[in-house]
Amino acid sequence: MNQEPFIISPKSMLNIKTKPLMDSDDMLARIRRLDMTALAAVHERYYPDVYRFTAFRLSDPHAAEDVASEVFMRLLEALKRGAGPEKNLRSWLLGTASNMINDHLRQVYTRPVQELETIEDLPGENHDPAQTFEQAWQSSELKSALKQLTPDQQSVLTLRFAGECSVEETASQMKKSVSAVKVLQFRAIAALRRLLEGNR
Amino acid sequence: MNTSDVNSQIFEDCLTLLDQGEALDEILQRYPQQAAELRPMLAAAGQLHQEFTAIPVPAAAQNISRAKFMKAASIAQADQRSSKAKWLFWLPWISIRQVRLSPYMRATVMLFLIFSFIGAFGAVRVSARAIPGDVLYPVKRAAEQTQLLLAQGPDQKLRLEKSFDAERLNEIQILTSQSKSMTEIDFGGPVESIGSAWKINGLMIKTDSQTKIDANIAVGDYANVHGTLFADGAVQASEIKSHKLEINGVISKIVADRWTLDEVELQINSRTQISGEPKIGSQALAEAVLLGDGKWLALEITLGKSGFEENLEPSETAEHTNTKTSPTKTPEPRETEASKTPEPTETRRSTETHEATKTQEPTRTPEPSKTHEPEATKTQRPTETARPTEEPKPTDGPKPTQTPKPTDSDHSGGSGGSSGGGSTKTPTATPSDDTHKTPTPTPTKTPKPDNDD
Repeated sequence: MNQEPFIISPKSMLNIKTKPLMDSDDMLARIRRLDMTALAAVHERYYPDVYRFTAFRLSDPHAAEDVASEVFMRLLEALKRGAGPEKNLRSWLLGTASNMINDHLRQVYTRPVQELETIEDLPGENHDPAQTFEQAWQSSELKSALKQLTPDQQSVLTLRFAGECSVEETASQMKKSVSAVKVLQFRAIAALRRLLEGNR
Repeated sequence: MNTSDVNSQIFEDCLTLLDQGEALDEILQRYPQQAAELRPMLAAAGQLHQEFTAIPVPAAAQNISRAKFMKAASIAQADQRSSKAKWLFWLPWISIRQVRLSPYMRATVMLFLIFSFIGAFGAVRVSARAIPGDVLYPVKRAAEQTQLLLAQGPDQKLRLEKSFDAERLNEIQILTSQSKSMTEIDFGGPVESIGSAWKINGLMIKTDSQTKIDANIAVGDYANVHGTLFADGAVQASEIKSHKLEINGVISKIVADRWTLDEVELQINSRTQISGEPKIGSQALAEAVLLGDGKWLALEITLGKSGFEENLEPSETAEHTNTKTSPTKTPEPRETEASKTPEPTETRRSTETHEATKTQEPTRTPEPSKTHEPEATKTQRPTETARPTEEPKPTDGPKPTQTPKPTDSDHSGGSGGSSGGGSTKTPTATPSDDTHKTPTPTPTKTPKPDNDD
């Protein structure tokens, strides 16, 4: 049995799926009314998660910032139309971010030169200076492995394990059935594992 | 397909068990055949999560995003409000139709009103993006003041004030990003430090001998600042004041350090000065300050007696003055009722005038005697109400006096049929005497309503 050096204790995985939902019905009602205080609170509470989510999949930190900011503008647009999140605001934001990342990557793939430039910037700009070299290396290794997956596989893994969305929320955001998401996540994680093992 | 379905379900089950706090090795023991495959997969999932949470969030990017988002939100809110007010557009047409004008005049008036509306809404809408120093900035502030005036209840007002304070901060961020300095600004927020280095809502506040500072401001309070913004983001304050609220109401709840006064929950701590005896139901006048966390801290509470008898200071909110005036008004109607009590003197006169008609009744002595009893009972009921007692009493008043008449009982044997002429004569003498006596009992009844009231 190959014990990974980066294997984590089960406790650090406790919050993967069921993070308490803090957006109450009252909060959702207030943002639908475009209540400024509620909207400010929403940005304050969810920007870090949305930014991490975009930075996790996009190598370019500036692009990650732009997409994260644009996610909140999309929220505002949706609220103005009377649409927007019905139950879980966080999963709506992350789902929107996921779709926007896929759109962004589609555009970037047509310009691979830009992508190569940003990969070099990645460990220095996108990570805490306190992070050790090994952690940074693992991070870039994980990211490069993640990038080799299909967009759907990347989406399911980031939504489920980075974004802490439940299977149901992920299915709703990806417009797939719950069983399809389970199969997709299983195949994606198996592929990721193979890629990580192949790099060693 | 089936095997992948099964494996994917097992993987999902493992995640659920991990989520429930079960140890990884214990979980894998449940699936010995898949354990070797599952372990690295679960580790990879865990690593994804770990990497995600380790990503630092750049504060500058968050601030820029916030400013952009809040600016767009304020525009969206203004749009929403103006669309809600669209029906007002038709109002002038409706009112014009009521006034007979020539078609030419009507068109002119309509055009004028249309341009006025477009101008007003346009200015307010455009002003939503205005920052201090802009031509339309006063329009924006005036629109906010209008909203505050229209706010229903202190809660809504407070929410609006907070959203406007958030908008002030956005404006400051924009001013700072545009390197605009020496701009007059005002904003509010929690006090982070006081004394030589004031800090409110993340902004450094410079004070000097000219700065007017409210007494009793402490760290953690919510304070409003008026001053000048400099290019480095620091603010030279001309005034720092706390957000005060004066409440006069009845204490409805006392739970440890939280009192509810007139539906407002007040925090009580060492800064609170309480005079009087706290009791649920007692009247109290409180001066409170807003804290940074949105709660109200009572600085001073003056307790009065329960009920409305206790008059506290006159400077209060409109709601409370109403509660006070209403009790003082209620005695007045009593006085008027009391002033009506002399009316029985008028009723005495009426009884005298009705005597003749009543003289006929005694002729029916057997029947009326039965009817008198219930009437007598009725007389007590009307006395409870103010008005009916005045008229029925005199008419009924004589009747009870008629019931004890022994003369009637004497006549009852003889006058069985219709009222005889002879019987009318005999009662006229006796009731007239009785009626002179009856007025004395009737006034004794009239005081009853006063006592009841």
